[in-house]
Amino acid sequence: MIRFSKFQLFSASLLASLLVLAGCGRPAGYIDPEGPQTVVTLDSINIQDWANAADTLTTSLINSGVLQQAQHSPANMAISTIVNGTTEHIDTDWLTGRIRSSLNRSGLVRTSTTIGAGGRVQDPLARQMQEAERAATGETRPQIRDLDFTLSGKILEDQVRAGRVRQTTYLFQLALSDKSGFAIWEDEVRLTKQGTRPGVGW
Amino acid sequence: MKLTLISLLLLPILLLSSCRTPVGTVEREVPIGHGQTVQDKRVMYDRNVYLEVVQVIETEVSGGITRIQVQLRSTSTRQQQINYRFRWLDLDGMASGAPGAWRPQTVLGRETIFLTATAPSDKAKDFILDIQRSQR
Repeated sequence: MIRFSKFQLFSASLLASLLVLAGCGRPAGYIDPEGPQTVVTLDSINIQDWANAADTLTTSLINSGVLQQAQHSPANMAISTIVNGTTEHIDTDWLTGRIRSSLNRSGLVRTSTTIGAGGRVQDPLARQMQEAERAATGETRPQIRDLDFTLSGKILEDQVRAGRVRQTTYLFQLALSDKSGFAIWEDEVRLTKQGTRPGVGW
Repeated sequence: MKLTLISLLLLPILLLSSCRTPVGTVEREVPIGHGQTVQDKRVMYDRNVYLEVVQVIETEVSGGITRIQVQLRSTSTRQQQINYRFRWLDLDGMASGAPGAWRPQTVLGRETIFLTATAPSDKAKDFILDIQRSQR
C-alpha cells in the first residue's frame, strides 16, 4: 500500500482546489457602464473613455460661452467630419452622439439630423419631411444657411512600450466653426492608459 | 547573518518611503480670485480616502448654467487614486439628467486638486459629489 505523508496530501488537495477554482467563472451580471468596474484595455477605446472625453469636451464648449454668439437661440449646429486617426475601426458616434445629446439637453444647441458632412444624413425620413415642407412653402434658400456652427474633429492614438510596460494615449480633438469658416472654439482631451504585460503568457 | 536580517527588515521601509512624494506649492499670499462660496455637507465613509474639502465655489456660465468647483487637499504624503462623479438636482430636489461618468483622478501627496463640473442644463442647481478610492 502506498502511503503519503501529510505534506504530500496537503499539497495534492491544495493543487486540486486551485485547479477547480481556476476552472470556475463568474456568472454574468450588469454593471454601471460609466462606473469604475468597467474593463480597461490598452488596445482600444473603452466605453468609459468615450464618456469621459465627450463630457469633458462638452463642458469646455459650454463654459466657453461661444454658443451664445450664435444668430439663433438655441444655436443651430451640424456634425461635420470626425476623422479616425487610430489603428482600430471605431464608430465616432460614440463621441458625437453623447455630445449631441448633452448639448441638446443644455438647451443651448439644436443639432441637425438632416445635414451632415459628405451628405450623410442621420434621419432620412426627417430629410424627406423637411424637403416636402420647403417645397410646400416655396423656400429656396439653401438649408445650410440656417446653420450657426459645425463641429469637426479628429481622434489620434499613440502607443509606446518600455520593457514590459505598455502605454496608450488617445487624443480627442474637436473644433467648432462658425459661418466665416473659422474655429471659434477648439479643445482636446488626452486619455492615457498604462499597464504591464504579464511575465508569462500574452 | 545579523546584518542580512537587519537589511531585510529595513528594505520594505526604504521602499515604502520612496512612495511618499508630497507636492509643495507656491501661490499668492492673498488670492485675487474670489468665487461665490457654497456651504457644503460632507460625509466620508472610506477612511482610506485621505482628502479634505478646502472650499466649494459656484459660478454661472452660458445661459444660466451652474458650474461648481470643489477644492480638495490631500492629507497624505502618498499618492492616491480616486474616482469621482457629480450628480445634479433641480430646484425640486429631483435628479436632473443622468449621473456623470465616474472619472479617475490621481492625487499626489499633499496636493491640492480642483474638481469641476458644469450642470447638464439651467434647471440643475444642486449637486452631489461622490468620491471613492480606486480599486485599481
